[in-house]
Amino acid sequence: MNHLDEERLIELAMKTAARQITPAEQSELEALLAREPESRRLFEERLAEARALAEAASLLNATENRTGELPGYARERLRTKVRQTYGAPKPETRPTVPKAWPWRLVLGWASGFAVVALAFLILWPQPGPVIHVAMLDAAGATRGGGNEERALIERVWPDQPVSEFRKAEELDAWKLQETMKAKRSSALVVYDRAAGEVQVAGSHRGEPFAKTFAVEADLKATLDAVRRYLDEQLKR
Amino acid sequence: MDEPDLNALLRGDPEAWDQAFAWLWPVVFAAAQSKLHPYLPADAEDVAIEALEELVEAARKVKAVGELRPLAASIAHHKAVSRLREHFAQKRGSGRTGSLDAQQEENPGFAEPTDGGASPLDRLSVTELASLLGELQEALKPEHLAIVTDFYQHHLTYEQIAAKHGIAMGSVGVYLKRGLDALRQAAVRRPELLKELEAYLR
Repeated sequence: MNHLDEERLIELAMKTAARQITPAEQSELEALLAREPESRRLFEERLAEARALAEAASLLNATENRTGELPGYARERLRTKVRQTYGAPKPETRPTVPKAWPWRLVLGWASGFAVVALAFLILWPQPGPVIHVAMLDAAGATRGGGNEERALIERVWPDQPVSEFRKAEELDAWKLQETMKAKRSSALVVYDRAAGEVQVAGSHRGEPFAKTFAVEADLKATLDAVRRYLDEQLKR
Repeated sequence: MDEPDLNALLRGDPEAWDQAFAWLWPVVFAAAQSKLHPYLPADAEDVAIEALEELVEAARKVKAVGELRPLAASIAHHKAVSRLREHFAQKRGSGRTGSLDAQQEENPGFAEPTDGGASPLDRLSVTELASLLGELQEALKPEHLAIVTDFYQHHLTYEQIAAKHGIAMGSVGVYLKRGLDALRQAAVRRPELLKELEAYLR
């Protein structure tokens, strides 16, 4: 089938879908299909697509419709459905950040391929520190070594779970969420692989602390330094 | 009418939901009406209300408030299709609820709905359809959509469309084909839609 015939076939498929095909065009279509039997498949595909497009266009117009008013009698029925689904309205909970947290620093940390260690050490009422570890890999799995570095972090904080993130926004949301849960004393540790540094921020007995460690020789040595720093800060 | 706050909706805030219902009513009613008006115009309002009821639960899966409108339209569309199938099945006294096309083949006197009848979109899930609509919304410029609508829904000829939009006759076919291309590109990225398009051909 040559290009002109194909273009014409598509046009006839569109006209068929729109019910605008004339008797003359219908005869032309039948002749074309008889002459090129293999073109029937193409015609049917375009016809199906044209029908789908016609339906989609109708729905797209519906999504843009702004006129009309919900009937009054439906309101209570719909409110009942909301109550059944969501229960009693829950009060709005605005994120209230502990004053002692250096949040500009915490939330401003860079993205990129990074391994993130989030440590919340809750000294009271829990008996010991709780450390949550998260890994951020914004660059995807294109760079090697992520598993080894994760293993290093797990060796430093063996009892802590490791979460993984691909987006900095997800990490920030998680940091915020986890910090909301934190009581009294807590700490957040982030290893940013792209930046080659480990950043620490937290709060103990109402006193904030923060420090950035450059990863110069190897990650293990830096993580050991971070652990010593945290021990020092959280035992004051 | 301003869009509602999604967080307030997910908290079950009654005022936010009242706002959402008012904001979405034109969408669900238009979607239901476009499918039902040739046969069951009186049912459009009822179907639209049912669609909003279903949306209350479906909203839990939404990530941005902008997704609510295509989702609402998709729910209303599917409910209208179900209502039509039930109607025609009852009318024929068989209780069968096959596709509208199949019913028409079995019974030549069975009138196909004037909006094009069954379409491959009927077989997509509500969320798949809503996602497709979102993508097409970005791919089709408003002027393209207006031409596609005039052709498929208002059944205007090329000549009438050209006159209405002040464009050359030859451009009408080009715009319509672009619409088709946009749908095909969306289908290529959506194996489930491709599958339904193929199933539709069988």
